[in-house]
Amino acid sequence: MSAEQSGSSTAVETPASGVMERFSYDDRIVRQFILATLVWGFVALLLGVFIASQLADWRLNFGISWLTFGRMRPLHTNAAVFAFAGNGIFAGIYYSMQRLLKTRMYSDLLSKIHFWGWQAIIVSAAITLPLGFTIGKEYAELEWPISIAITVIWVVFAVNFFQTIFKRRERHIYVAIWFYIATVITVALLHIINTIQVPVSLWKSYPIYAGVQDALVQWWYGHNAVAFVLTTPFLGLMYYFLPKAAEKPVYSYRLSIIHFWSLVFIYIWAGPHHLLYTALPDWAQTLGMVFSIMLWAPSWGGMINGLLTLRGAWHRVRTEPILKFFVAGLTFYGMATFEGPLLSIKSVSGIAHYTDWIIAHVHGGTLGWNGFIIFAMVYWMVPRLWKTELYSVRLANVHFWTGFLGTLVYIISMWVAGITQGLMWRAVDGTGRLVYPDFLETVLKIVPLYYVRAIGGGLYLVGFVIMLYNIYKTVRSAPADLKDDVVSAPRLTRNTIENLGKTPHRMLEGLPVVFSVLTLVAVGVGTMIEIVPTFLAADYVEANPLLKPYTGLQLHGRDLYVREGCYLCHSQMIRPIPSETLRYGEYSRAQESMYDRPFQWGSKRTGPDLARVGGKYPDLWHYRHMMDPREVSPGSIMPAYPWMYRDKTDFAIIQKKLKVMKSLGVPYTEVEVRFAEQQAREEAKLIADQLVAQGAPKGTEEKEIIALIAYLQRMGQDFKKGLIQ
Amino acid sequence: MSIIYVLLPIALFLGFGFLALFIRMSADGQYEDLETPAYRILIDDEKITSENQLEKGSIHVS
Amino acid sequence: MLTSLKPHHAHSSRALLCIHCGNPLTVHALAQTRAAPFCCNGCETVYHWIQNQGLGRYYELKSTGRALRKGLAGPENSDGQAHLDDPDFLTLYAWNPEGDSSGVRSMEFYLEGVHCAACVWLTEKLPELVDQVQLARLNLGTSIATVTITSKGSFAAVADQLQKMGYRVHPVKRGEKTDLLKKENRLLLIRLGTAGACAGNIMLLAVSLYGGASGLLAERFRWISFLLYLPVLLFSAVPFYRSAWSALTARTASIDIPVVFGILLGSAVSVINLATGHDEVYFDSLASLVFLLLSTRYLIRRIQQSAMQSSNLLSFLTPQRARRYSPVKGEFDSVPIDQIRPGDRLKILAGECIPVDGRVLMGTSSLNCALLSGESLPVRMTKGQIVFAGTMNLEAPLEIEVTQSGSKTRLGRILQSMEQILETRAPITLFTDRVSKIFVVAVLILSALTFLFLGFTQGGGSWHEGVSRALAIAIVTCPCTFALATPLVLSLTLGRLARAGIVVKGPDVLERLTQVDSVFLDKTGTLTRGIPTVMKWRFAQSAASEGTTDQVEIKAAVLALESQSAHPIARALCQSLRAEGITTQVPHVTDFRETLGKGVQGSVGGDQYQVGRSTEDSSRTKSAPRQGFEVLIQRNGKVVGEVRFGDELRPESAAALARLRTLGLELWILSGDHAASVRSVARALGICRKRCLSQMGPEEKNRVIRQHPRALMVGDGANDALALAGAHVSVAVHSGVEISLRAADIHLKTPGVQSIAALMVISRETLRVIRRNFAFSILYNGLAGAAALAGKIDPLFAAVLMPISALTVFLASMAGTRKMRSAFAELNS
Repeated sequence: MSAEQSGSSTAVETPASGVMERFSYDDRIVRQFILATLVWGFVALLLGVFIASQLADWRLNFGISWLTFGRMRPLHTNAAVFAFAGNGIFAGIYYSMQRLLKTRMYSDLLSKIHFWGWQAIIVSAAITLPLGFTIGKEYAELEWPISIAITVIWVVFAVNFFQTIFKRRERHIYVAIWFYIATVITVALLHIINTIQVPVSLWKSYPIYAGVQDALVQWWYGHNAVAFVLTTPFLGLMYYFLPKAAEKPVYSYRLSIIHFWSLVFIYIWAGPHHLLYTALPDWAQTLGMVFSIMLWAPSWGGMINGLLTLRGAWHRVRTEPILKFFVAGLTFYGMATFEGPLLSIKSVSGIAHYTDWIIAHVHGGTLGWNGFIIFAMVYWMVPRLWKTELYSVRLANVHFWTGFLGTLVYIISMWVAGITQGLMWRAVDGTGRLVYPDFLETVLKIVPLYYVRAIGGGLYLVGFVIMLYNIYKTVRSAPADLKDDVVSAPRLTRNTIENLGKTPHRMLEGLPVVFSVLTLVAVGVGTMIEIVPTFLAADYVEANPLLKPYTGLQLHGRDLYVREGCYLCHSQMIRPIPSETLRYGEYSRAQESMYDRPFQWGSKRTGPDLARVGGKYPDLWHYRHMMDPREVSPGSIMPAYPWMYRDKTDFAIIQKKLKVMKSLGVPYTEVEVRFAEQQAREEAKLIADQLVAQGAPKGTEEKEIIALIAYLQRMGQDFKKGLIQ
Repeated sequence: MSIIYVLLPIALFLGFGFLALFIRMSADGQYEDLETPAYRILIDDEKITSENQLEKGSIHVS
Repeated sequence: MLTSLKPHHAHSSRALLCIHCGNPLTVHALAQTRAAPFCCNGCETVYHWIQNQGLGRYYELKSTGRALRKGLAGPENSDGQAHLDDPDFLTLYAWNPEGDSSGVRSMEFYLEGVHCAACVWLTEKLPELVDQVQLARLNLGTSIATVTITSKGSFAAVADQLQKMGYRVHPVKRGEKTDLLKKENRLLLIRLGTAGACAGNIMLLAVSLYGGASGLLAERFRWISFLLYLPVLLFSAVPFYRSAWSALTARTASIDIPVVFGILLGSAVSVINLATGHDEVYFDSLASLVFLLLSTRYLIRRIQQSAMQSSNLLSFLTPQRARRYSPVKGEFDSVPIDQIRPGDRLKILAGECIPVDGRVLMGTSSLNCALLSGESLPVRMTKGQIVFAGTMNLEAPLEIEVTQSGSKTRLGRILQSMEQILETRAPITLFTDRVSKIFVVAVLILSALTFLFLGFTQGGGSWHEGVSRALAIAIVTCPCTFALATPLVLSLTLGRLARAGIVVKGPDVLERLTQVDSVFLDKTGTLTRGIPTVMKWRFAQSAASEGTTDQVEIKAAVLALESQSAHPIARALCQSLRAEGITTQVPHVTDFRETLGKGVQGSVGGDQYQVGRSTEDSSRTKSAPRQGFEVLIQRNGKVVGEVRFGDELRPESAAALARLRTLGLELWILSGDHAASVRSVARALGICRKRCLSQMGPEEKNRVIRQHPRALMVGDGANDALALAGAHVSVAVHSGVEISLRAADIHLKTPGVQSIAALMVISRETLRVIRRNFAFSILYNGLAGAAALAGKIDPLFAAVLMPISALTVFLASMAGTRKMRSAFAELNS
């Protein structure tokens, strides 16, 4: 890191004469965030290629528990979204914000805390996720201690962010800053609401919502994490860095303002389009669909505004890599935000949901839009931050073409795989029978495409490494002492802010505002934790007294299911579509997952749906299947789980789990709670004996596999017993 | 589906929070001039080095 | 610095543009060897000032961003700005942004010549260049710079600095009218934002209800949507209630009445349904209606306001102070303009503007009377002649005796009569407004009838059916197609025209444009360039016979001589000589002398040269009616050559007039110039003799225009101002003086008349699109109204049909017609 800029006096005295203040921007924090972006970008992409190749050839997890797909995939998504894109956003925000507001960040200390805190969170995630500590909700898998740390660090960033706005020297708040404001406020709210957990132990907790409620909150968060982490900040970055790189004003500044305000209001409600044809009530599904389709307008408004900014500079796109990245990025953004509303139409979602088409849509947006905007931004900022020329423009162009090709190969292979599988699942012949009853056949058909996808991802990673080398050589050629440049701007006193008489909001600015907002949020969350559980539980209990919650052992088995990330390849939601009821049985009702904390409906079917797998196969089938899936279903790409036959079930914690569940409103009797451990051991012994009768080896009652089998056999039983209409 | 009684207030709180922000900003005249900001960001700050030290009474802040 | 990756390509080959202001050079001059070419010496002085202030970055920044379509007026050396610090002036123009006693004051300046990002950078550097300046903010859209200074600062210093930067500075009167306007704009924007937010959220709940939410949940959703509807009903829709109320009290029908009727009725019915548990509530369609109507109203208001008010014209054009001879002190001291009385003796220095009408007592000089005669050629004035306010004294100091001052001067009277004409012109309501009034009354009666008819004839119980049908009629036939479509089409056209550099004052102008049958064109500045240009060189026998070397030598000498003088003739000569490449060897000039009226003389390389209009020569031109005039070149007393000057016709004028003729318009030329040049221009443009009127003063021009009720007046000089104000429709061409831009309905930002034909086509097509919308909406309303009357359409279906109809009308308006699109394409090319 460069030498720290010499001490700066904070006392502000303005001489009677002119009011030009000299100050300097904090570029050191931006350099740090850029380096973090590059490091974590490499990690995230490497993980992506690794798990993609695991899908192609299952042996690539080398039989090690913390390398299997179930645990690596959450690490890949969190690393890509919060570590790679996250650090990229912070670098762009810290750089552009100071220059747009013509002021240094409010406090260098808060910036440092934010930087090191965020990296610490990433490292903690990199440790806990492979160990299986996860709460089982996509893009929010981190356990409760880390989730609290995220909230704290985000608040530190928010305080620093808003205070910098309040002490700005440029009266007009440019549209990019508005997008950042939306990001800071909404992400805080989303994260807090979605990760309200009641801890069982240091590394285990249960969400307060259950079943369909948890599903709606999760995908309200899931979609808006994409919206407010992967779209609004990047639009802000685009509105600042594209004009700067093209040296042209944005095409229509008025359109960008309209684009912002319409986006803010529509985005928040598109969540339910992840739950079309599920047990979510119809009106909520229609709501999600309508709002997602409306999202198309503001998104394309943004893309067109960006592309038209290059009017008169298109000839430079041929030679300059930065403009190529921006143009390609914006085009992918247009493509992804057209594909999104299309996929939100129920009938299209009927085909695409749970298939690889969704993966193509996701990576069209992330690799194409987020990745390319970050690359363009980095190539533009690094020469300025390190006060030197980029090492090689040719290499940057090579990176562009490899990245572009990699993204296309990835997307096209997943489109083909997704549509093939979607249609094969739905294929019903004249007599009303499934053309492809065996699910494995549909998987084997697209395994070659998993190889192609891995190659596409690999190409993208190669391009990234080329950039690493290019940036490394550039930074190496930087001058030794990178002091921040001193610039000057007129001080923005209150009397220069044009206001017609004293507006009552004047006292709104300043520290009290920030803390009052934060206390409001904290109080809001506090009341929610007390009121909501009682409120929600009361609503359902008398609805169906016959329904029995999971037994202690089954609940522990479910937590193993969550630990191994089975929900990443298996769904537990049979949709009311003829081909699915034929394949899996009666479609899932909302009440069946009433006590599921967290809900495990899943969003991808690499493997078959498990909602009604209970009782379908004998225990021995599961026993041998989990040991070596290929022994039972030849050609399967599912990893083996040998460690479940070694590790012992932690019976001691089951009682604590039942107590917590009871506090969350699940109807466990006093007896079940007090004798939880004993009842669990008896149930395990029972299953172990049956297994021995069927020919399995002895002495397995203590093993985790028994608990898992207990849970697998319970799934969908309530319906079979006619407890649900 | 009673979760809606949690999500709806949040959405409205967020929506009207941004509306309040919009009102305060338009009262403060942010949307008067929607043409110059697009040009103003293109102008880089001039680096003050020892040679072009501005004699104007500017003082070092932070 | 701009060290982005792009290879630093050589300075772009725009050698044809003036390096400073970017205006195209009148003659295709090659790049001058010494420095880049300038279109006028004004640009040259500003260029050098900027360089030695170390602000060279200005020219680097010029390459960023798109230059707006505005020409640079060129800095005239108008008088000093001392009057800016007068206390009484300050009370009118300056205001205290914070309202406290800190003495900080702000003032707005309209800068002529602002055209790109570099101007923003240059203007906003004021705090670093001028003491006591706190902040300078430039608004590119309106070219208004807001400058804030501390109590010890001086606006005069600020104005001088801006002048040096190459802008013509006009302080803008910041009365309470502008404050009020700003507050109203902001309030309307806030109402619009609230309506948008509430409509969005209500739609969220409405979609859930349409999607099938039922039972307790649906009940609560309806109540929540009612709560969200209240701000729209009570706050956002207030402008509609106010205008409907004022229309009612004035007993005229206005478009807002059915809108308010629809809103109130809809709200009442929805609340009743809500209370009695019926499930039909229309909060979503009502909120969206209010939001849509408010957004079109906001759009039109912003476009109309972009045209500057003409409140402070006189102060723009005449100085505020003058030097009056005070007999007691025996010398001239500076006094404010309104203290000057007829009979006072004033002293006008060279380069100053004459503030009053008067008779010359002492001294002779040449005056630029462009403001009144429209002719840019300087006119010589000697003792005893009458001078008028607003003319510029070019060469020598004059002493005059005041005959008229203030608003009683000739210029003042012209401005006053112009203001009266602008005020008295009754706002011609659009044809569409008139028709929609009839429609409004029809809808009201119809819905009232259905309510009463159904309510009573089918027994007491069914008032509910009556209400729902009445509401269906009110909603489905609510005049959103009129209220939305017509202003939308007009605002779209106005917006597109503004982007193409044509500022139209208001939507009614477009309609009047279609009623025009004859076009009156001013000659100088409109059809021609307006500045003297070299037409032909002729050399005496001796020089011509010795081949071209001698000619080149003469030309080089002339260039050397003329480049020393700022006279319009000198400038024209230098331009054309540079164009011919006489730049290689510019000889050195010794004992250069410029004499009034005779021209310039000096010795170049041993020979004594004299370039000018010899006295006997000027007498000859009066008799021989040839266009323009000649300048003689004498070497050592012997005439060696002669240069013929004239007013060069704009290349595109001929083609433009031909197109106007194909549109069936009668073309006239109306000019202050003498008959000879007018007739030669007319012959070149193919306009018959009897339609050329020459030597017309402002008053005569106005009289001619009055005789033709359906005339389109195209002009630029102040002498056209009166005629422009009086014409049915008026177009001010940019190259003219600021004043004519105010008087005109339409103001072209680019010189020349080539865009007028396209403008005519666009206005006709716009009316055709409006009529097409009309036909569609009448057809739609007829069908929908009848169906609603018959009860076939329930309010829900009506609420769906209405936006669809509005949408189709919207898309049709956006598309316009094929002709309109080609005309716009031509304008933007």
